[in-house]
Amino acid sequence: MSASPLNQHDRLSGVIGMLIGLVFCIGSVSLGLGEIHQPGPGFLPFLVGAVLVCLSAIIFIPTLRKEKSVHRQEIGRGLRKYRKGGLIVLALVFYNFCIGFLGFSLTTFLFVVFLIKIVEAQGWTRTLVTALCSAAGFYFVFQSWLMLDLPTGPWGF
Amino acid sequence: MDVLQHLIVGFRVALEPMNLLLCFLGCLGGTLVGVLPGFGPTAAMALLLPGTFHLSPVSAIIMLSGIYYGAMYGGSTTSILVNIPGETASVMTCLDGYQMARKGRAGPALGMAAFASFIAGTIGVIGLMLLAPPLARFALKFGPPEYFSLMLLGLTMVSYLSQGSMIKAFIMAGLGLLLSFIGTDIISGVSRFTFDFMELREGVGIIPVLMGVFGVGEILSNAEEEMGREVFTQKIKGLLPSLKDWMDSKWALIRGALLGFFLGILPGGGAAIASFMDYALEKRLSKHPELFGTGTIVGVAGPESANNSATAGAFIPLLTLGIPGNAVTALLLGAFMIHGTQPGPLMMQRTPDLFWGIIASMYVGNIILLILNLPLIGMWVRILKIPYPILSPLILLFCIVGAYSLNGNLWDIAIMIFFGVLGHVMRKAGFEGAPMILSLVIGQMFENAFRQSLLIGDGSFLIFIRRPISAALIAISVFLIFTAAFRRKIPQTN
Repeated sequence: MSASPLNQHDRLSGVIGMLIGLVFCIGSVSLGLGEIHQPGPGFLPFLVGAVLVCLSAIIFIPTLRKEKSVHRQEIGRGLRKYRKGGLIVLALVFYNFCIGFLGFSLTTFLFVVFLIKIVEAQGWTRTLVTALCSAAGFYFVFQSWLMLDLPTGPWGF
Repeated sequence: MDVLQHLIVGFRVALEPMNLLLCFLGCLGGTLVGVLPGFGPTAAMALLLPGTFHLSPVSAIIMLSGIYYGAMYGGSTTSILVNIPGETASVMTCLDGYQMARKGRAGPALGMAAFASFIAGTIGVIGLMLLAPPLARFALKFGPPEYFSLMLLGLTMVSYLSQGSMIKAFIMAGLGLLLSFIGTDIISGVSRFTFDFMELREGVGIIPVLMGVFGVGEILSNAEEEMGREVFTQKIKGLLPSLKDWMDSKWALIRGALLGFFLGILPGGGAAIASFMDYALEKRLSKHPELFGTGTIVGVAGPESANNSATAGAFIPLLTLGIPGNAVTALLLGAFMIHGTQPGPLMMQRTPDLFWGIIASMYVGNIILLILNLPLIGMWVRILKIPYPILSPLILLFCIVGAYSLNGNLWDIAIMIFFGVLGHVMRKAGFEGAPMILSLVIGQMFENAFRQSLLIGDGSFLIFIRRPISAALIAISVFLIFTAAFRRKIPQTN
């Protein structure tokens, strides 16, 4: 029998929730809990962390009872579904990495080309027109009109 | 009359050419983000927030509020024509609105949605105008324990009203609080939970988190599901609902406006919940509940009026207590603070032109929106025809620029990406983003109120139940948790 997807999610999110709560509890203790009539910087974080651990345990514990095995096959089949999302995250990381030295306009252009051409598999004309228009449009609206300081490349835009 | 005099002052502010223009731009932008699925008012307001830096506080808030209630108008268009909610408060409009469109009655559905929004929006603003001043006077009695209990109630409420599991919503609220603790502690000056990252000393910014959870997260969710988007291509004719339509929906309109307004005031309430509840209410009261979901105009009029008056109601806790009740008003609070004003019980006395200017601008905005949404409906339909593959990179760009522009640093983009992935994964596991955002915003106020209360109470937790207002608020929270423990889930409306 395979575990239902929601059950798997609960198991994982329960564990993660407990871990986060625990990290904050331990951190709070080292910050100093203070005394009750003069609570220290770690007092409320400790309480909230402890509540988080308890609540996550409530989510986690019922998942232990039933349905133990998970079919690896099904996970593999599901991977194709994640291709698009994965590529989008990759593009965002690339954007964050490059914008510092390539500047806003060029990075934006490359970002849009990647998303429309490779992720969404659209035609070249559509890709290039959208990429050009969005790079120029965003630059004009946010840099020239709203006067935000967008990062510039070595060529000044 | 006092209110009338104040209102005249307000209109003088709202009708200044610059403010009128900004109100128009806000409404236009709000309708646009309402129409576009996957990009809601919260993200749009976050994006435009840095653009308001060089405006006066009143102009900035007028524009940002316009986005909020404008989105409620725009969202219905997408629901009716594409069967995809333009934003979450329009989910219920899909059920009957789209069925009406399929029967060739797209025109009256769109028309009724716009009129319902206008009527309820106006009723909501009247309610706000009448209720806010006495509430603000009452709130002057509030000290730290009352504020703490009120915020606790807000967090309980937002979890109680969430669509899924209440425990999961509570976990999200807790997570938001923990996030808000990251950074330098104001009282002791020590760095908390920064894990030696210099950048975290300032804390986790709300805007990058918002952009991540609601912007990037939404795009990632859409990328996993192939969306069948088919825009109604038939020509839309006859926007004016017939006399029968009006007669059928007149009570639904009024009920929607009242229910929405009061649900909007509740901490943790808001437009989405108002429209859900109203649909359920109308279905229960109707003599023909079987017609719901087959294209009855009541199913459009009710929820659409509820979500609009809820936006006006949501301003009440923000303007009178200085406490936001949902993610959108949390963002507005951020905007107030950036502009150096603190909304709360004293705002009405200290800066009456700001308070009344905002209220008057809402009357003006509702009229602007009626014009934008009836004669100009064709323009919005054309925007809906932009293919999603083109739209999604643009929405991502908006998010990136929004996250970056507030502080001008790349670290915020990284935070946005992180919370985008997290938001998407959370949603799949049945966790909602709203409680986290709310508690992230009020986290610092929450902690300050808590510590001050304990100081006042000389280290006794009894301070929270010794004071009557605070005790009542705590009692409601406990009652809610207690009832939820027995019910576990609120019944799904559909």
